[in-house]
Amino acid sequence: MQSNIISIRNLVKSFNKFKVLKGISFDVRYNSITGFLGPNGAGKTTTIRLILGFLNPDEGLIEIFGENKRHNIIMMKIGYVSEAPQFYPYLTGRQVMELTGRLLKIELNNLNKDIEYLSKFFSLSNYIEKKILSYSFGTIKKLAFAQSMLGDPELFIFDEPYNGLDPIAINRVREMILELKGKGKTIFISSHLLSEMEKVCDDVVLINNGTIILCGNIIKLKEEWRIISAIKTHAELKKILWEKRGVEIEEGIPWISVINNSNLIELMNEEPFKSAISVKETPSLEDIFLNVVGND
Amino acid sequence: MNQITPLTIVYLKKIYSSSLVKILFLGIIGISIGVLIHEDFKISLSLFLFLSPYLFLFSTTDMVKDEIEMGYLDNRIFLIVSKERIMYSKIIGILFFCISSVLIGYLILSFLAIIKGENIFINKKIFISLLIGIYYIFTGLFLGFFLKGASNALFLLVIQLLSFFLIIKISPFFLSALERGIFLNYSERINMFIILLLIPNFVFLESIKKYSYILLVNLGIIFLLIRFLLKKIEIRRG
Repeated sequence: MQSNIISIRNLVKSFNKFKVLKGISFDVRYNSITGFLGPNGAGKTTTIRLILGFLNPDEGLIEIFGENKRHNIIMMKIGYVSEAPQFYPYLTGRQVMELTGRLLKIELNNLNKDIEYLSKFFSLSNYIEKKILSYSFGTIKKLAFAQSMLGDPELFIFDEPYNGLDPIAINRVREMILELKGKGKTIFISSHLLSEMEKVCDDVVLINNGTIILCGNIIKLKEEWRIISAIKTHAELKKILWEKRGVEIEEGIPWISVINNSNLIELMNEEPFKSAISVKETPSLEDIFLNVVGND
Repeated sequence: MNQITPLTIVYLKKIYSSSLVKILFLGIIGISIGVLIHEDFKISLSLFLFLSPYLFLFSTTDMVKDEIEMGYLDNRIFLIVSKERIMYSKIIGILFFCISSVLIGYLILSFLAIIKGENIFINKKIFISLLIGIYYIFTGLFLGFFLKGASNALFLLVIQLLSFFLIIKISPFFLSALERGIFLNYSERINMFIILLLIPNFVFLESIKKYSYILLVNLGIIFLLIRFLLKKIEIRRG
């Protein structure tokens, strides 16, 4: 079995001659929670829309479940919530759920049970029979979450899932994400809320100005950040690193290029690095984000 | 088909919830009843059949560009269903609504004519009216890729008026050629082709009826254009 549920290679997309994505590549592992982070306008939503087939790429390859064609069977295995979901306002919440269920070929009895369960889980019971016209933004978003769960998809793609939700709903979504991970599902989330991402994600992909500037396991990235910040302020270690590994760490060099080009994690157990690193605090995802984006 | 049916019901609900379409239907039926009262069943039915294709045209408002820009297609339903199937569901929904509206209108006029003591009959023009209506559905949807709201329908109406006056101005004898149904030279034939492309209602004229096949050709061309646009279209909010 393949290890990646999504594989993106050299993806390029322009709008009106403006290159939004400049040849990005990354993977999303099966049964992982991957955070897709980046400032506004970095290209996160465009990437998600390309993955889902809502947009056509100019260049590059996107594979989902090992296939690069968007056929019905593949797309039925994806649960999706957009940043600002919309549904036909003349339908009720139940009608949206029933329509989705029918398109997913869910048996009627099971569909009704699913609708009842999801309505309760997302506190939609008072709204489900009302027309969407009367829903608030947060309620529409909850309906989108409920809709995304129908048919037990294998892959979930959430674009800014916490936008517009109250703290209770945010907590509920967080619980849901972790529960899905426990059930062996894969979740790919774009978000600005770094502290929230840190709570749930295994991996991160950081995009800025249409370029991937960092991707990998969060714990490993944090350790590498500690190593670099320890060496950066230590002239002797810098010298040893240069002599031993041919790696240069200077103020002007973005630390990410160092990480991408060398396996520094091995240094953690080697003296004199070990002692210098041990006094450095583990950074938060926000520290890393600000450092990387700030240097870009 | 099992994907098209539930979506067709959704689009039928959309059309039924449109005030514009309701007002237009009531307007057409109201005018036709007015004519029935003052004239006779034949004239009122002819008028009803001449106007009802515009109901088809206005039923195509808000169906393409608006849906994309408002984000209605940006949810899971439209991951599962292809763009082509969405379009076919819309066409079937509009057709169902419009054909049933024409039949209801026809029944209302017939019923009132019987009360008035007139003989009723099936006017063959009902088929021409439906053909023109279908042509308007495809044209409206095609224009809907570029124009929002009811502007697709209004744009076509303005084009119809302009082209009608332009043709009279450029080729004053063309109207008599239309009446005769005889087109002597290439210029008149090209004019006839253009006029049927823009104002298909001219096939109601007895002399032009034999050229109805041109409508079918134009319909095929517009259908291919819609298929081409569907392949290119991207779901991107405005």
